Amino acid sequence: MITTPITSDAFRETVQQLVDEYRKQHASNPMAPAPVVPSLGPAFTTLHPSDAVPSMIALVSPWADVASPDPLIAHVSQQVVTLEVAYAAFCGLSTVILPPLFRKGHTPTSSAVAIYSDMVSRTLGIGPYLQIVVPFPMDNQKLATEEVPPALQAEDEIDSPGRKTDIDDALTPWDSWNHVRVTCDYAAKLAVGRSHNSHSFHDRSPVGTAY
Amino acid sequence: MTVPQLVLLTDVHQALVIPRLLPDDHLQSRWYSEPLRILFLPTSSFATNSNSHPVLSKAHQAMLTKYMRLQQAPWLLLSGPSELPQPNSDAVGSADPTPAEAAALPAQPYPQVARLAYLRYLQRTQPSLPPLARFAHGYQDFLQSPLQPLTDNLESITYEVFEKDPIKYAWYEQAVALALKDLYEELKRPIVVAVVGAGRGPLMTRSLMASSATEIPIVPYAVEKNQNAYVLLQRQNATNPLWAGNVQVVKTDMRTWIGPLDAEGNPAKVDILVSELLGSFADNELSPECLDGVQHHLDPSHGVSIPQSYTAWTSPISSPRIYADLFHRPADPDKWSLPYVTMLHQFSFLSHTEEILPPTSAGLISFSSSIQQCWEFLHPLPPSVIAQSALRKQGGAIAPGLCGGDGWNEHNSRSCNLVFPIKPNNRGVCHGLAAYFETVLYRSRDGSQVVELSTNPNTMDEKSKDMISWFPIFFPLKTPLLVPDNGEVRVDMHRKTDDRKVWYTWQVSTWVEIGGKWQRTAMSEVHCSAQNGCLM
Repeated sequence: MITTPITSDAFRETVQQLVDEYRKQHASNPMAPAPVVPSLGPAFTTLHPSDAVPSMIALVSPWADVASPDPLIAHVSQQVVTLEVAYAAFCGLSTVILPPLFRKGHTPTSSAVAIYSDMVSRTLGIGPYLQIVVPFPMDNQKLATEEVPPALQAEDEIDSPGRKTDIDDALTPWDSWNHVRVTCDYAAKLAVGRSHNSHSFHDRSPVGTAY
Repeated sequence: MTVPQLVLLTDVHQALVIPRLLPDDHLQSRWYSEPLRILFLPTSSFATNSNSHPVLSKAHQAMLTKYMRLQQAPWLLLSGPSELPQPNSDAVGSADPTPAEAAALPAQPYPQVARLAYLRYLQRTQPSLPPLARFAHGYQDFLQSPLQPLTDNLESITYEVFEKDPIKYAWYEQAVALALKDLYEELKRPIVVAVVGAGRGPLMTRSLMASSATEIPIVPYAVEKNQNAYVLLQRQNATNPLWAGNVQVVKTDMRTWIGPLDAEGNPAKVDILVSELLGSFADNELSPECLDGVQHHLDPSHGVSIPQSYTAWTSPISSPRIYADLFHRPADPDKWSLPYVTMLHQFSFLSHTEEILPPTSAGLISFSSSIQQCWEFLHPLPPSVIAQSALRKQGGAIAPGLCGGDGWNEHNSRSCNLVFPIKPNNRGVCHGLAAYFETVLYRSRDGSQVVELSTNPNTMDEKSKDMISWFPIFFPLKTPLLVPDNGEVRVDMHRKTDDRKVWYTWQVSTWVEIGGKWQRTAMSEVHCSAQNGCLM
C-alpha cells in the first residue's frame, strides 16, 4: 500500500493566498466575512478514481490545522479537511489519515482537543465506508525535525488561550486520543496512527509505503 | 533506567538524560489496548548497524512482535527519502510493453529498499507463539457467555476441547496420587474415590492411573447427570482396559446421589471426592452448590475433596476494544449485566503494586499488576455449616434469606470491597473488571507438596504453565470511568443467591485524595447479572 496526498502544492498556495488577502482586507474592513475555500479542481488535485485506488491510503493535507490558535487558519483548515475527505471518499479510498493534533512545539490545549475531536467526528459522517486514522505520538517527547508537519503562515505567534497548569506528561497524547474517541462514540471506523515517539508527515508526492 | 526504544538519532542524548516517570512498559501497554491501524516508522526510528544497514532497536523489535500478534495487525508506514523501488529505466523500452516486448526484457527483481527489506527480514524471523496464544489466536477479545453446565448438558465437542488441555489432567492425577498416599497411610484399605461430574471420563481415567502408579487400590465411582455423557461413560467402562468394568457409573445429579454401597450393600462413605466444576471465575458454574449437595456422602473425619479450595480474583482494566464491541451491539438491556468469558488480549491493567518486575528482553521495566482476591470457597465445609443450612431449608421460625428464599444456600453468598491504587502517570479509563481464579487441588497432609491451578496472570506460570482450559472472564461497565493519577479504583462485588439461582453484582468507583481527604469522584451503576443468573 502507498500513501497519497489528496491535494497539490497549488492548492496550498491558493489557500495561503486566500488567507493573506483576507488579512489585508480585514485591516480596512473588519466586518468582511471569513473566506471560503474554493472547491477542488484539476489544478488542485491529481487524485482520481482508478484501479490503483484500493492500494492507496489518503493523506489529508497535514498543514490543515483545525485547532490552530489563529482562528482564520482554523476556519480555512476545517473547510480544507471537509473538502479533501469528501473527495477521497468519492474516489473510493478506504483509509484516510487526518492531519495531526500534536504539532511542533506545544501541547494542544483542552479546547484545541475539543475542536479537533469535533472535526474527527464530522469526518466519520462524510464517507460511509471510510476508515479514519488519527495520528498521535506515543508520548510528549519533542518531535524530530523530519516529523514536524508543515503549517500555513500564521499571523504572529498567537498565544493559545489555554490553562498553563493543565497536566502535560507522557500520557497527555493518550488523554487527547481518549477525548477524540469518546466524542466519536468508540466508532469502529476510527483508529489511531501511532508513531513510536513522533509522527511523520511529508507534504510532497507519495513517499510512504505501507505493507 | 534508560529506555532504549526512544532512540531518535538526533535525540539520543535527550533520551538518555531524561528519566521516564512512567515505566515505558505501562505506556506501551496503554497504547496497545487502543485500536491501532498504522504504526509510523520514519527514518529516525531506525538505527544503523555496523554493516551500515538500517535496523530497529531491541525495544522496537519487541514492540513490533507484540503488535504483529494482534488479529488485526497494524500497517507499518515507512516514510522518508527514496523508499520506493524504481524499475531499471535502461531495460524498459516503453512504459507499456507488449507481451512480446516484456518477454524479451531481462527478468530483474526490483532492488529491495533497505528498510523495507529489513522489515521483511523481521517478519520472517518472528519467534513462534507460546501454546496458549496459539490455541487462543482466533479468540482474542471474543466475548462468550459463560457455560452453564448445571442447567445445560454440554456437547461432546465441548468436553473434547477441554480434554485437550496438556496440564490440567496431569495435575489432577498428581493431586489424586498425593491424596491416595495420605489416606492409605491412615486407612490401609481400598480407597473409595468418586468422580462427581465425570463428563466423558478423563478424571476417572486419571484417578485410575494414579491408583496404579501408587499401587493403592481404589473403589471407583463416576457420577454424571448428563444423560448423553453417561452413554460414553458406560462405553469407557466396557472398552477401556484401565476401567475394565470396575467403575461404578451412576447417572444422577450428584446432589441426589444415594451414595456408594459397600460389599454387603450397606451405605458407605466416599474417601476422595474428585470434581472439576470450576468456571473462569472459580465458583460461577456453581461448584460450591454442587459439592455442598454431595458432601453428606464424604467421610466426615478424613474425607478429602479435590479441589480443596478455590479463589476468585479481579483487577480493573482498560479495554476499549471490548467496550466498543458491546457498545455497538444492538440495544439489549442485559448486555452490560453479564460477565463474559473472553481471551483478554488488547487491554491494559490500570492498577499496579510496588513490586518491580524483572526487565523485559527489550530492557523495559514495569510494576506487577494489582490483581486482588475477591473470595474463597473451601471443601468440605464444616459439619455445623451444613447442619444450619439443613435447618434453614425447613423454613422454621428463623430469618429467611437476605435475597429471598429460606436462606439454605446463603452460606455460599460472598462479598468483597477492594481498593486498587493507581500510580502517578498511570491515569486511564476503566471499562470493566478482568477476573481470574486459582485453586488448590490438593495440599499433602505434611504441607510439603501442593498441586494448584491458576489463570491469574501473576501466578499462572508458576502454578500451571501452559494450561489452556480457562480463559479469563470480564465484568463490563456500562459507562467507562475516568481514573485519575494517584487515585484509587474501589470495587464492590457480591455473589448473591436466593436458593434457586446465583448471580453477581459489581460496582466500581474512582476516588481521589483532595486536600488530604479521599473523595469519590465517579461511580458506576450497580451491575447485576440476576436476569442471567445461574440456576441451581
